[in-house]
Amino acid sequence: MNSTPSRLEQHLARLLPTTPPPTVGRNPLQPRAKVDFVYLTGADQDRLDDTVRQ
Amino acid sequence: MTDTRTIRSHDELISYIRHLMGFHPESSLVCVSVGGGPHSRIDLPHSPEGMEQLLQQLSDVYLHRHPVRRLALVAYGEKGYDCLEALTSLSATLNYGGGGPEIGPMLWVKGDQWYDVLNDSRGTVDPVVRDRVDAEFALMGRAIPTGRREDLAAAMQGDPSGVAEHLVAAEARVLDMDTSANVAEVRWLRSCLDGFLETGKYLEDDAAARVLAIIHDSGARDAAVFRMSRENAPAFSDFWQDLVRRAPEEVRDSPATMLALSSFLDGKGAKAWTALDQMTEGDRLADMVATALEQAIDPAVWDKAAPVAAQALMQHAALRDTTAHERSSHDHRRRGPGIEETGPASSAPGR
Repeated sequence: MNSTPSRLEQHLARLLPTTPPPTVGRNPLQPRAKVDFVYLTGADQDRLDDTVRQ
Repeated sequence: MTDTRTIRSHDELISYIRHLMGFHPESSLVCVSVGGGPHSRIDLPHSPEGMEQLLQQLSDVYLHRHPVRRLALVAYGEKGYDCLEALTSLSATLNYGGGGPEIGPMLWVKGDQWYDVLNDSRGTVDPVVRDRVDAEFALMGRAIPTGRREDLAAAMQGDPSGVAEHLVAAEARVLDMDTSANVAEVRWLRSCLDGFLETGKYLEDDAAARVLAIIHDSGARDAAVFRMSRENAPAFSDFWQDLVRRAPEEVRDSPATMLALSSFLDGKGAKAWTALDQMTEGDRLADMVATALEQAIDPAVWDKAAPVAAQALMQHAALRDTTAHERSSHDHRRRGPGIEETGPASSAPGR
C-alpha cells in the first residue's frame, strides 16, 4: 500500500467532513459503542412504512 | 378489532426487523425509522456510563444528523428492567424540549413475546405472520436470516488452501509488471468485476489469486471501488465476501476493506463493521469506511459524489494508459518483437 493517498482516498476524505459534526462533546476516554446503521432502498422503506402505518 | 390490528402490526414489525438487520437481534436496542432515514441497532448497555453513551450517540443521529419523522423503538432482551430503561430513557431524550421524532410503537421483545410500553398491552408473535413476512422476502430472492450478529463473522471465514496454491505465482507476476502490464491488469480486473455482475459466478482459484495480488495496488483498488454503486453493492458485497472467505491471511485485508465498503453502500452497517473487524493492519480506506459508519452517512451520497471523482480517475487512467502504450511501443521498437508478452496472462475470470 502506498503512503500517498490515492485520488479516491483524497476524494473520500473531502466527502466525510461534509456531514454535521457531533453536537455533544464526547468523552475521549470512553470507547464508542458500534451502532449498526441500516439504510433501506426506496422500495424496502416503502414496504416498511406500510407495515407500521397499519 | 382495533386490538387485533395493533397486535398484527407489532407482529409484522418484529418479524420484519430480522430481515432489516440480516440477523436476530439479541440484547439490543433497535430503532426503526418510519418514513425514511437510518435504522439502527446497538447493544444494550450494562452500566450508567454505557447508557449515557447510547443516548448521546442515538440522539446525535436522530436529532441532529438525520432528523426523522417517526421512530419505532424495540428492545430485545431477557431482562425487562434493562430493556424498559433503555426504551424510556431514549424516548425521553429524543422528546426532551419537543421537536424530536414521534415515538411509537415502543416494544420490549423477549423470545416470541412482546410488551407494548406505550399502551401496556402484550402478545406473542403469530407464527403465521412471521412465515408470511419470510415468504415475502423469499419471493424477493432474499435469504432468511437465521443467525445472530456474531454469525456474520463466521460467514467470512472459509478455506484459503485453494487460492493459496496460486498466490505466490500471482504476486510474483504482479511484481514483475511494468506500467503497461499493470494498466492491462487493472483493465482485466474491471472486466472480472463486470463479469461477476453479469453472471454471479465466483472466481476460480487462479483468478481469485490474481485479483488478490493486484488489489493491493492503489490504482487497481480505486478502479474496483468506482465500479461500485448503491444499486450493485449487494452483488459486490457477495463478490468480496467470497474473496475474504478464500483469501490467505496475509492478503485478507484488502478484500475485507472492499467488503466493508460494499456493505456500507448496501446500507448494512453490521456487516460493514464485521468486515472491518477482520482487518489485521491499519488502512486509510478502511478508516474512512469506519468514519462513515460512525457518522451514519447515508450511502446514497456515494452515487452523487462518486461519478465526479470517477470521471477524474478515468481521465487520469486514460492518460496513464496512453503514456504506458507509448512507452510500450517505444520499448517494443527498441527491444524488438516479443517484449509485449510481459503483459497479463489471458486466463478468463469466472467458473
